Amino acid sequence: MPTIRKALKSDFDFIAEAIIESEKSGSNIFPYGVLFDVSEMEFKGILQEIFEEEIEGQPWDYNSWYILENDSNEIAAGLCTWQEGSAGMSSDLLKTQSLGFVLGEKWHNNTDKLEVVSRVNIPRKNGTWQLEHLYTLENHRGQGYMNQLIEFASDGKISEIQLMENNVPAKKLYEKIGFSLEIKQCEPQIERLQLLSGPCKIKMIKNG
Amino acid sequence: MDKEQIKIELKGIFEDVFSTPNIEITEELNAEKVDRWDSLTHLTMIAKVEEFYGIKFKLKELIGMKNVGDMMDLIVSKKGA
Repeated sequence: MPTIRKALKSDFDFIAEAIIESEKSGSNIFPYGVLFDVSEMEFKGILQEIFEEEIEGQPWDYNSWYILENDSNEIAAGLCTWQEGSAGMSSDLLKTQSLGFVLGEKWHNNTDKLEVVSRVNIPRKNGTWQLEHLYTLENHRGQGYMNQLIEFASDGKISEIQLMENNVPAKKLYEKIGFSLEIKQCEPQIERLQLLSGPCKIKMIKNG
Repeated sequence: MDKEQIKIELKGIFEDVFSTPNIEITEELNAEKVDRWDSLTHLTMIAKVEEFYGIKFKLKELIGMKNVGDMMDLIVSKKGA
């Protein structure tokens, strides 16, 4: 039987891969790379700095992560979940402040691109449980691990997931588990500037 | 430093960054109460405040800053009262 556990600091490499790959949303475009002119390796270092700050109530914190291990105790999948607003500030603001602080000049030099990307921002409802960075390692796919993780993390709770609309396999999986589309937000310029994998972001919700 | 003076100074910065006229600066004011105060404009506002007062906030201080009152307390303490 696979087991699900809270993340440990030793899981960082997997978590960083999950964040980077989920941000790509099935494409070759790494949004943080395009936005701030950083390589995936440099971004991993930035993530590590933020995780070390242990900022609760947002996705880049060990306390927000669950890891699924298979029968052989190998890490197969993971996701992060947190209750929106639980730290007294929106998760978006917490994450952005952390990122902006670590990036410094790189942040402030790219506010024009950030402004375009912010047009597809979808607000998260206070009190709802957020799921993000859902990721299964390639050689462990097709075994229902993500299903189990989502059921575990969202059981009986009002849960929200945000994703790029063009990530069709992920959207289908979430629909199968009981999530339905709530909001769609599009910005055509994003596609032209190749800032994200597509022009539209969606929010899906599951009512407990 | 006089908090009433800080309020006047912050009003100018906030109205400029959030492109919103007549913002009433109170200690309870936070991002939920100003339409154009989002994560992006928030960081611009922080940079302007740091530049105006010649101070630098630590990450832990930024994370703990829940409203304008918290920010004013930090400005006062960093400027050495």
